[in-house]
Amino acid sequence: MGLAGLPLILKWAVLGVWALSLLVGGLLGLLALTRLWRAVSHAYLLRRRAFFFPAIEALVMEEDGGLAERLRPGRWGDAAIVEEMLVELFAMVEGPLRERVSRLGEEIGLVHRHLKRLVSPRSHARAEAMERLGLLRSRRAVPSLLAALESEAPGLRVVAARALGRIQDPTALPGLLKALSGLPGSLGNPVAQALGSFGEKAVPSLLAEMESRETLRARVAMILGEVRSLSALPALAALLAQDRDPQVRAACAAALRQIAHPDAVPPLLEGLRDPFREVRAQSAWALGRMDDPSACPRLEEALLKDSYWWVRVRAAEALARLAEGRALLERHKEAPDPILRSLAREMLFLAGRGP
Amino acid sequence: MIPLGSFLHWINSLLLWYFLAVNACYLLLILLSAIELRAYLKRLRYGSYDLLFRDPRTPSLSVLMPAHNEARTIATSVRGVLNLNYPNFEVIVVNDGSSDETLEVLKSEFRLVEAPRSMEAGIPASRIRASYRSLTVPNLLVIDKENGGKADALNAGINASRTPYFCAVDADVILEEDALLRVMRPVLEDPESVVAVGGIVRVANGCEVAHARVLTPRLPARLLPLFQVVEYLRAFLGGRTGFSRINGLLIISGAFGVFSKKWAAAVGGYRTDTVGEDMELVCAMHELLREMRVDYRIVFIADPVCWTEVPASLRVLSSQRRRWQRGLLETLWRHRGMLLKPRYGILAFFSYPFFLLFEGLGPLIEGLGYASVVLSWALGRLDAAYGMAFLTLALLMGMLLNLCSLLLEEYAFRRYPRWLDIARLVACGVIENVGYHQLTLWLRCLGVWDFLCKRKGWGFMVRKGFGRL
Repeated sequence: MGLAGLPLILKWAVLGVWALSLLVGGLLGLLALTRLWRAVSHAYLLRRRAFFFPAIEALVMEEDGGLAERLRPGRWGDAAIVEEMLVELFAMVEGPLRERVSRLGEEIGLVHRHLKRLVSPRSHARAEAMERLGLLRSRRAVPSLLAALESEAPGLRVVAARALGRIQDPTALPGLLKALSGLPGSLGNPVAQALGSFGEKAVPSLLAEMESRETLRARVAMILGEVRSLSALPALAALLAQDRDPQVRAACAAALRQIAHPDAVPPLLEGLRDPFREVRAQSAWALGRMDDPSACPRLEEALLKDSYWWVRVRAAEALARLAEGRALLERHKEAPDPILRSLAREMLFLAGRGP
Repeated sequence: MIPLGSFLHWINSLLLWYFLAVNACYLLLILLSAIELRAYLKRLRYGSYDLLFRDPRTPSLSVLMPAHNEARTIATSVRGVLNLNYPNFEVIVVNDGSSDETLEVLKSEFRLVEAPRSMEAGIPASRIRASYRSLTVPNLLVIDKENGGKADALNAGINASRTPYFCAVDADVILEEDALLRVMRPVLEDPESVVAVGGIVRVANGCEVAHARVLTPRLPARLLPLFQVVEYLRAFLGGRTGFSRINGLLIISGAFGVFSKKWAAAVGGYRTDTVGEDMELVCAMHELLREMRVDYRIVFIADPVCWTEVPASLRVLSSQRRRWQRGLLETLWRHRGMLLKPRYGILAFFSYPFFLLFEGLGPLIEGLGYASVVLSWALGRLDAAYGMAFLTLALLMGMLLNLCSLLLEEYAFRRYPRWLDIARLVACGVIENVGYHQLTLWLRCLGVWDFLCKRKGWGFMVRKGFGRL
């Protein structure tokens, strides 16, 4: 195209850019107004917060006397303020008072407000409602959240699982286990974290799941480790010894490290001879948490001979935690093998420095 | 032979189309950035960082801080990084053969004692003289090595790290308290595919700083750093966020970025023969992962904030911009195999051509444009209306891009609380196109020249230290 045809394009381009610049300028003006609005509303909301504070104080002091009425939102913005104050309370209170705060959230209509939003056509609004219901620990929301666990969108399932993990209603366990199997890869992590937050209550279901579903074993083993469930130790030890999948064996060794019980030593010593290097590294790491001197010879063998650097690091770390192990490391401080020498020196230094 | 008049006519047409294409691409990127920021802000509403902090799956992290002659700022920076919110991290400071008091400052501030550290013999790096641990801070490791440059120091740090991810941080930056949690969030959400995450870098000049924290973001009083605030906002909010949306990010700032150790080591770590080692690493990872047909993502997050001191003098700015331009061209030249090869997808057909045409060769083309206009005017071949229209368009377009970036900043983060600051930013966004833009253009042209002359070296940077910003 020649220069002769260009001025028209230029004219249009200049006009377009002018229009866009005006638009952007207008939007900046709008944002300035938004700033102003924020400043004014913030001051107002602070005043309303001060208004509700005595009622919250009475709630903490476990006083009676129409708390629901005093906290019921009346004016614009009250619902969000009271909700925030109740959510902050959950971090500070425990036991029956927690239950009371949760019930109060339902009585004054906060939960109802979010339950209504669960049917919003906008997925972000639904996700936000689920998050708030979880923060309010509302048991009334459990059926709706369980239904959300069946949602098509993985992201929504994750938010629902997180909310159920906070509420910790045992009726949610089967639904969460089902969701765990339905979410691929890392998306299942929040569900696993939710299951872990149930503690020992979740262990029987998790063990049953591990027994029946091969594909979930590694993930369930990790959760059992986080729960530090002693009752899961035999099952984890058996899988460490026998499971075909090296990822499962590595996860079991990692779980046994978190449980840190002396009964785990024999299977972990066997784990040091596993053909898969991650299993050996995890086993050496776990043995470091057991404080059992009988593991020293095998750990030394791993430190001297293993082909994987990480196994040697973990074995040296484990040895440094024990007096007998430190004596062995002293012997290798001047070893000709540079890796062995540097590991022995480093771990002895760290052991000498204390925790 | 083509007559000069026709030649100028032809050049002017070409430049006009180039100009329209470059600005259309920038607008497209801003649009993509807006979409990405909107989605990001929505996600933030239902997933607190507190959960990441408590999640046992949050991976451990090594923060690598290469330091070369940073005695004035190093203690403050290290203390700032040590105080970050993150469940399990180690700080590895690599003293890259400093000739000043950097190591001595570290030794006295953190009560360092010489302590052996076994390192994975992964990536070649200069000889390590000694490693030190602190008697007061358990998660601090200092490595003293012979001078080998920033990339070499980072490679030594990667070898010393024992975590699946490392975060490369310049020794002269300030990170916000939750910066590590925020930057690691994409990794935690998708550890299988996220291999690197970059964070936004903002200008610390003028900010109220105490104890390695930016207490109140403020704008610098001087004009030169002020222009760079607008420039940084445009580059990070308006550019990289958009590239991240389409998984076409070619650069993660060396000042603050997280990488998977496995993949960084697989490409041989940072290259020591370039000054654009940050971009080089990202391009190498792209190349390898695409060749291996791995499903991966390289992400930019506009939220985790890293504050840095930008050049306040023309001399330092010149050195920095020439180096950046040279590094960019070195990397683009080395990875020229990416261009238009279907295997590299969006990188081959958008990111690489964008960086090559608009960032790498852009200064030359734009410079040619200015020369052509002047020549046409001198020869009486320039139509006054055309010239005015083009000039107006160029100014408006530059203004528009700056204002859009400010708009994104106001919409998403509102880091500058004072009204006056916003007004100054808007004013700066308008006038930046006259003078400052041409200045950086000239410096970038010099950078292209340096590249063609195969010049090496880093130039210099003068820092005041955070107490005096």
